[in-house]
Amino acid sequence: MLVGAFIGLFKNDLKALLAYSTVSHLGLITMLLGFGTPMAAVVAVFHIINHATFKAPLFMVAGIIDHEAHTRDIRRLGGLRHLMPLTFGIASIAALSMAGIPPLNGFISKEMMLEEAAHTDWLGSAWLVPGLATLGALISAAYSFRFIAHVFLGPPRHDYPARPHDPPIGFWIAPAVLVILVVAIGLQPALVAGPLVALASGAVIGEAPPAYTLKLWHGFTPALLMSAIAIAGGLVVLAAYRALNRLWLRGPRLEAKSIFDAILDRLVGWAVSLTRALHDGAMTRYTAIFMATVVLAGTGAWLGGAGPGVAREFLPIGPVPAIGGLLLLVATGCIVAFHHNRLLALIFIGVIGLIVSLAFAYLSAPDLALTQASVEVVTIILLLLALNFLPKSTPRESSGGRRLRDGILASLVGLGAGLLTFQIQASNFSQASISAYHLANAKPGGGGTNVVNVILVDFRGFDTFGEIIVLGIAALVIYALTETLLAGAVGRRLAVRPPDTGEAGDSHPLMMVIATRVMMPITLMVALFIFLRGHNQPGGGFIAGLVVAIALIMQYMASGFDWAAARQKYPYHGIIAAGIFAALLTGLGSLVLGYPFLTSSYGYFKLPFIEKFELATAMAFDAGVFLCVVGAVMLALESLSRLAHRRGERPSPYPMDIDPSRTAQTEKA
Amino acid sequence: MEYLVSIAVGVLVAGGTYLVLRLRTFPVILGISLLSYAVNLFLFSSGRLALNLPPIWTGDAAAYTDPLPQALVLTAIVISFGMTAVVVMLALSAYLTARDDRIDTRDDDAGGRDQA
Repeated sequence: MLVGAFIGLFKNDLKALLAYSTVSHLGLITMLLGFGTPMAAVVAVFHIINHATFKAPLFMVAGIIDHEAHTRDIRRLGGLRHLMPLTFGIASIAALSMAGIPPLNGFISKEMMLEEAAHTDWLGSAWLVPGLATLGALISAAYSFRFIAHVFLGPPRHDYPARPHDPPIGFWIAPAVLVILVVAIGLQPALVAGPLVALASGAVIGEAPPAYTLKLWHGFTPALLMSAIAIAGGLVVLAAYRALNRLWLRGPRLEAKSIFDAILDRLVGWAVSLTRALHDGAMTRYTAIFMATVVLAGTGAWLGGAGPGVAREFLPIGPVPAIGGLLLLVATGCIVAFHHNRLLALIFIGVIGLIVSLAFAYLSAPDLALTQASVEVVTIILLLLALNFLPKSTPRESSGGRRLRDGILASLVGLGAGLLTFQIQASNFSQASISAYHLANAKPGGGGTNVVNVILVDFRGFDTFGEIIVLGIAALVIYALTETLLAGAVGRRLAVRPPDTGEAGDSHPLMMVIATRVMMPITLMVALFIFLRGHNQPGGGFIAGLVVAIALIMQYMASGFDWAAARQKYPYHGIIAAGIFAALLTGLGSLVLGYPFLTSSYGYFKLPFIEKFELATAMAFDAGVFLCVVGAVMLALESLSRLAHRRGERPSPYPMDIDPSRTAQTEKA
Repeated sequence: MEYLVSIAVGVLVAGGTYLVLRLRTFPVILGISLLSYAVNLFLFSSGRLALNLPPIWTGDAAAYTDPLPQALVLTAIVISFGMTAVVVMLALSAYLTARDDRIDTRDDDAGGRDQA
């Protein structure tokens, strides 16, 4: 409010003067809204209306002068009173209203503003806000007077760029109508503007505005005194304008644009230096910063709230879980200690995965245990495949200080995670879990007693649908990356790489080939069993899919990639797509029948010779999940294996490198 | 039992964090695996631990295990395999292309080694 007013006061361009005065008045309105009292909001709304009625004619007058005199420079104007009496009349009423002279509308709202300011304490002072408000009103009065005095008053000049005279009616009728409003609101505020102010301020406040009357005369109040000071001071400033202007020109120039640019430059500079410091291209650094931030935020949250303490009884730790826990801790420690030996680290990963799946089984979650165990197998195979190409050991290259830093950071993160887990275990649910609904509706609504599976394929079927798509995309990404690698220079280099040293003479051993081939149908049958029972007993599409994938991978491992690939008739992309389509069609089926997407239904059927059995549409969906999991896992692993192919290698026609019956035949021949 | 699970989560997270901060891709992959074990355990335990409660609805049991976190963790396990596979593939192709498995690369040695 003050900055705008000061700058406006010393502007020579008429429009600039008015524009900065608008800045100042917007500051005033913002200040009123910032007071936060309902009455101040009423005044703010009222002043918005008044400001519009007097500022619009002033801008139009500035336009008229520009049009007539061909300049808006105040220094080249003056004495227009004699040449443009009508314009002078309009401009002076509007400008006097802006100065806050009674009986015009600007006076009323300025008076009410000063009244509000008079009872606002700020920074412990009862005088600060009233003083500043009065100063603002004073400068406002000063530039309004200057607008009149320096443009219209004084002797007429002879050096205008053009000969000014009052414009035709089309120019002055619009400001004249507004100026009539200025006077009308000033004389009869409640009649003319009352309903609009009441409506608008009610909307601003959000409830009915407080009781008030809009009137010209409020009696002898502090605000009247402040108003008088402002007007008198405004006249004094106008009289001393020449001296003040010299002072102003000597001082530093307050230009909003340069201030804004300087602030922005500074902020951008800070942001750039901060970003450079944090993001120097080292990913470990980002990760460390992220972890440290998480620890700090977590510490803040931990200290900020009172934990509920221990509200539950704890389960006892039996000897077997204790041993399992110890194994897990030791294996984790060993990974950290021996991760430089990558194969060894994989063995420890396997130990941890096994303990975790045993923990799921022990803690009444058989579905999770089955899934974790089967995922564990494919994960280890995946990492082994990758290690085929990656270096077999990690060099020691971190400095001791860095290891210490990471160790401390990791310990803090671990401590936080452990405490969080413990605190959740120790407290009760803060509100009733929705699990009760799932338990109660699994059988009557979903037709299955394995609630976990019913949640996956029915209650949260849409979620699962999205997840299998993500899985399929992940596998396709891996496939695409492999294709790119094989097509480029890397592929050519891999194809001619020297044979691995120390290769086993028998890469597809007889025992393993026979065993996996015997196991194949058994494994497939187990998978089918797991799949079919999934709705009512632990199992389901996810686990069955993983089991089938493992059975297929075993063929690849035992009999060789080429042998297995030659017998695999369906491309894995197609299997993924078939799975997603099966799930999608199941969902659309319910849509066709007029139910929401993925609504499931079920019924019981009787066939001769076997027991009554249940069929649910959810099973078709689960079949989609099954196919997608098989396809995704196989596509990912197959893609990685294809990197190993060397140029010139022909697929062996025999599944086994050493075959006694073949040897016997060659001997006979 | 709660103490044991909390300690296990804490230690897995600590080990995973330490490995994620290493300078080569393979330890980072190991670290991510440890972190996903920890996160799965954590999510599972948010349903509160239960010993010998039936996971299958029978209609007459007094209490059941919480099925919801189990369903969420089940998909999380499978998805985390998918994500691990993608990260492994990225690490592998980065190594095969640049013949270097360092995590922190400077601008001057990005991509230039293949031709060397």
